[in-house]
Amino acid sequence: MIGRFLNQIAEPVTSRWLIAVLLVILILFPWAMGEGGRYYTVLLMTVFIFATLGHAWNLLAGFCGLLSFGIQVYIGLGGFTVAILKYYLNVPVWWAMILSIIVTAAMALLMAVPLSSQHGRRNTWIGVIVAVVLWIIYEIIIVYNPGADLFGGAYIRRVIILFGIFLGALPLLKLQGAYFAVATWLIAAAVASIFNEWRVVGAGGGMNIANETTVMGRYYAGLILLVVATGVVWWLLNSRFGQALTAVRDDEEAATAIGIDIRLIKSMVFLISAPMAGLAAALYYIDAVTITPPDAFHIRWSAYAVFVVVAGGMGTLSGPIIGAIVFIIVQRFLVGIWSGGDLTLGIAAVLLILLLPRGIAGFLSDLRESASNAASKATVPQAGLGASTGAVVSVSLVPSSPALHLLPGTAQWRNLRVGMSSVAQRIAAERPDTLVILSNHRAPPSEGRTAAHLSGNLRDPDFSTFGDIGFDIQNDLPLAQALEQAGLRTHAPARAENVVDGGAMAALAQIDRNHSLPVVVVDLSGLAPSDAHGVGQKLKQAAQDLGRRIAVLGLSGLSGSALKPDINSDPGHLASADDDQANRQILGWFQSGDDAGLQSGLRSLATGRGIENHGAVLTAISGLASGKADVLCYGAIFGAGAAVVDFPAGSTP
Amino acid sequence: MSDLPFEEAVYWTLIDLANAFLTGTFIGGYYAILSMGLALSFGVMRLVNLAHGEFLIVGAYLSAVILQILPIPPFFVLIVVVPIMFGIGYALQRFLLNHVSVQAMERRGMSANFGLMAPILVTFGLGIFISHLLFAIFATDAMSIKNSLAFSAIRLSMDLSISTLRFIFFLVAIAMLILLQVFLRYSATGRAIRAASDNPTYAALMGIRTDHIFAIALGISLAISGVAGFMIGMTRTFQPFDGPQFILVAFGVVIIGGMNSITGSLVGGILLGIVQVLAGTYFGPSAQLVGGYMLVLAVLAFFREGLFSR
Amino acid sequence: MSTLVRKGNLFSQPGRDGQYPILTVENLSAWYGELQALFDVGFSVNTGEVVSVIGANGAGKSTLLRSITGMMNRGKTAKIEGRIDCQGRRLDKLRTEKIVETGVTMVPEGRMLFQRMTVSENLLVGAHLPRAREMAPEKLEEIFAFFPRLSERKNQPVSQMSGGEQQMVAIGRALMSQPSVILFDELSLGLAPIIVDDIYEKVRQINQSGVTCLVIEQDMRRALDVADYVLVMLEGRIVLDGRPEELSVDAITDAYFGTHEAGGHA
Repeated sequence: MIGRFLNQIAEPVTSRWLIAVLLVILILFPWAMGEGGRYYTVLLMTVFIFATLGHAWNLLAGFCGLLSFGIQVYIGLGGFTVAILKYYLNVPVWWAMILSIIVTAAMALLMAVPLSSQHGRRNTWIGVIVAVVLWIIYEIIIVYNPGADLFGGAYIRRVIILFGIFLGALPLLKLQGAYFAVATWLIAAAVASIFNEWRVVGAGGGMNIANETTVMGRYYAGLILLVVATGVVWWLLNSRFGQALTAVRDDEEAATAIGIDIRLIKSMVFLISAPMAGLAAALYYIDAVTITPPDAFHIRWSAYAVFVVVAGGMGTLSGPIIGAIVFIIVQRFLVGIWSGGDLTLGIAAVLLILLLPRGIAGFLSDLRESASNAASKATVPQAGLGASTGAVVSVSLVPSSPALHLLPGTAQWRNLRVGMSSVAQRIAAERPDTLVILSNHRAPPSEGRTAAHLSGNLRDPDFSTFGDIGFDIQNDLPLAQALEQAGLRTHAPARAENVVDGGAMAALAQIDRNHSLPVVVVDLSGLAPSDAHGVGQKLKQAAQDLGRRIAVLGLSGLSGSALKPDINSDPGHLASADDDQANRQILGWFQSGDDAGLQSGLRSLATGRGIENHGAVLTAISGLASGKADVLCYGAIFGAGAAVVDFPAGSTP
Repeated sequence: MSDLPFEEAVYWTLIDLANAFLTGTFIGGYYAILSMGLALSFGVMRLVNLAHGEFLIVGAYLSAVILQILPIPPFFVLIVVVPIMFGIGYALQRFLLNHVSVQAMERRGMSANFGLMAPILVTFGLGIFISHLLFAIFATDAMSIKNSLAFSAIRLSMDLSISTLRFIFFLVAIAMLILLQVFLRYSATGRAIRAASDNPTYAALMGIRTDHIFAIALGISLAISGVAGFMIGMTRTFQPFDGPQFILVAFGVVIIGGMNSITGSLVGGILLGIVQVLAGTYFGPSAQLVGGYMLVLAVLAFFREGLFSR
Repeated sequence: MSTLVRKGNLFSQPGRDGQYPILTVENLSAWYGELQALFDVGFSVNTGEVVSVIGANGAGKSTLLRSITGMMNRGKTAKIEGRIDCQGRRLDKLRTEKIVETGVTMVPEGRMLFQRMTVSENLLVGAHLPRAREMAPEKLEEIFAFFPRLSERKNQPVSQMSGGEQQMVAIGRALMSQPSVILFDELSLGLAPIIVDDIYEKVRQINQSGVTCLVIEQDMRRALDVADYVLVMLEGRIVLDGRPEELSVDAITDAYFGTHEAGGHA
């Protein structure tokens, strides 16, 4: 019961009435407190400011995985914009505050801009050249008309413009983890040292924002700011865009694999978060009156934002709000008890991560889960974008030997190759989202994270003398995950050197020549026949759950020669007449759509012919088909039986 | 300048350039030592130690305080400072950072993304804590290590000279670089450090106590920071809140060199040193900092993981 | 079908065939979160034997090895219950590095070499334990004599080597710690049949030199060839065990695929 109550606080969006009540209380608060409670009114306004700042940082770190230590650049720019507009143009501070959005967004745009171009490096160079030319023209204009110098000094003008060009050239959002964090910090430090030298902004001494605002006015500005910021984050999370955002946060590579434009998402969030921080800062400095570069561009601001978000709960909507309350309590109240407010903040940050790594919001929702005890099983995340009705749209069987691919000139296999290309055409015609390969090749153990994209050259040990098999595959990680959850073993290693399934890579090279289809390789090796037969159902279920159109490619020989010594015999020779008979019987079951016959018959045929290695894939494929199959060709590869079969993939369950 | 005869103008231009390159290179040695520890902890534990700057300052205070108590020649203080810093680093990794490592966070069911952030956030908090602790003890009075070398210089020609201290630091940087490489390559502990950084799970299967090994690695990282802190104290005054400005230099250096490359930190240090001195020579002292930042951003624009990243 | 659950301290009483076992596993269960991967598994390995564990994917073979080497008791999600003893020491509560000190080591599935190191360095890391470190130079020469291919490439980074060579390094690395028991996990994985033959020949030689071997293998034929004793696992349980010559191929196949009601297990 307590947990349920706590949850309502932790996830305010779930209970509208609670928000409404809270809002009414907050709106009435300054009146209720009156003059005597002014201190608390200001304190609450500070909470609003830091919660907004927290939202800005949380958008980047919690939802995009962009750990920024340069949020102070927007603090300084936001604050100084208001100061400059007020001092030089006497713009009313509220208007100046709104205008600061343009400045902070422009700064964010400058940092994010190379990301939005497709041909990054070339466009960067073009941009740099254009900027330099414009700069030279500007310098020439200033020589004839000194009044055109808006920067108030040759040195500062050149530094600012040069710095701007560097920022424009830097693909900030492409940087990973620590590099991003440090780069943002360096940018803020650079801007700080420019402001320190700039006479227009007081050259280190700072500026005053003399203004006529009241505590009440600032309080309501803060409240509006927080409500709007919270609303924007809420909208982001619940829109279509938000689904993509969640996908990016959970697994960036997987998000790419299902066609989400990560660069766009990140730039958008980056652009939204910048004015949020800038507005919070503008209000802060309107309240503080004095702004100096060392104070406004201090790394401390990032520390505060980090604390607010981590204390509250990273990646949650309510986290920054809870965190801001904790922050103000720690920072303001503990100062009274002990002089080191920031010292306590440091210790508190360390302890929080050790004890409550998911923050207070996360802790509360954990409590809720254990309280309600309704552990509804995690469902596979929806792709969200472009989801069509999922189904198995094509089923086919192709030989598993890499030999077909590695020795393309072999005359004896001409019919098999024709069969393969015919299957390739049929699959392409169905326009599937993903190609699922059922393989009997034993997959290596997973090493944790699987890579969404793998490319390289594979030397199949059995065929090493014939050359390497090149591969370039996009793994459909969400589908792989869904299949793993359904109890199948998928094969998607973290590193290219651990790709060992030569058969699958060779078949892929033949079926999907331009590497356009995302892939999941399912490892059926050693699967009991009854389990193998259920594979089809699991594939169909996963396809429906994820809205994927999947093409299934069974990768299997018939009678095998893998374990027989005569591997180097004539390419088109079949080991024995007995094998031939068994192969034809299997193909017969396929042709007549006799799934039951195959299941019962395969076991007796299997022993001694090497078919036991293939049983799982053959059974699975047969179980997946709905009706009579089309045997496109049948032949032999180095003593082993091989066939290309096209199955009907009907919608009958 | 325009009053000078042409030959003399050329001479001074060349002297300016030579000075910039010379000074920049030798500052590079100092920068390399400032950042080597950071590169080591990132290379081995993937730890982005945001408290690195504060640890440099701790090393500086430690040296200064010990030298105030013990009247020994300045360089001998390292015999005490280095082991103490090693101990701090060892304890810190063993008792705190091992519990918030990527693996530890994954064991606690956190996402990999958060696992990467947790150590960064903890060291961030730690940095704030340390600087305020130093402030509580020493207030903001600027301190330095008094020594006779601070103002001495080695004269190469009439108009070319290098600071004796910088020269010594450069030699120390190279010696430390070689020592560290030899240690990592040829000692059993060094190999264990590399194995544990490659794959902690399977390093344990070799009987390697990864907790202990990681603690040694951070110990070494902080020991190097101790040397660096001593050097800071020898060359300039310092205050409790100077950490961020040094970590920015250190980050600049390791980003140029590649965050996990220890050799890269020497190259990065020299590059940064030269660019800073050049910017300072031609655009005034305030351009030094900005010039340095721009160099780092320019490197990042074209090498997203630095020049020598593995 | 025989059952194989024994109770009590194994050093006080002889185990299978009246011999004293070097490694015993009793009532071992293992979980990954909610998912139970091993159910009350028990068996013993006598000194100097090769014991093969066979079973399909997901039968729990690798979990068994991970349990013995202490890789299952790290953290909240994976945990084990039961008792594992080796040479008088309980392993089930120890951390991996301590288990290795007792003389048990593993050649992991997928080899898992230290990719940025050379062959020699990988081998030397294997001799990290104090007891092995002193003898490391001599042992290194021994390994190079045992795998001549490796001595030709001792200064090459392992990442540039073929799968078979990498497997040799992995085996050599395990031998460097001077173990009394080696657990081999899926040696044939991703290797050509001819190379696998070589590797298994080496396993036989290692065994003859006095090292007890527990071999996990999906390739039934090889597992039977090399073994003194065979365990067949299905769905986290041992469903069949015995000497290879006592077990019929049909019985093993049935147990392997679970196509027959395995009566031996309670």
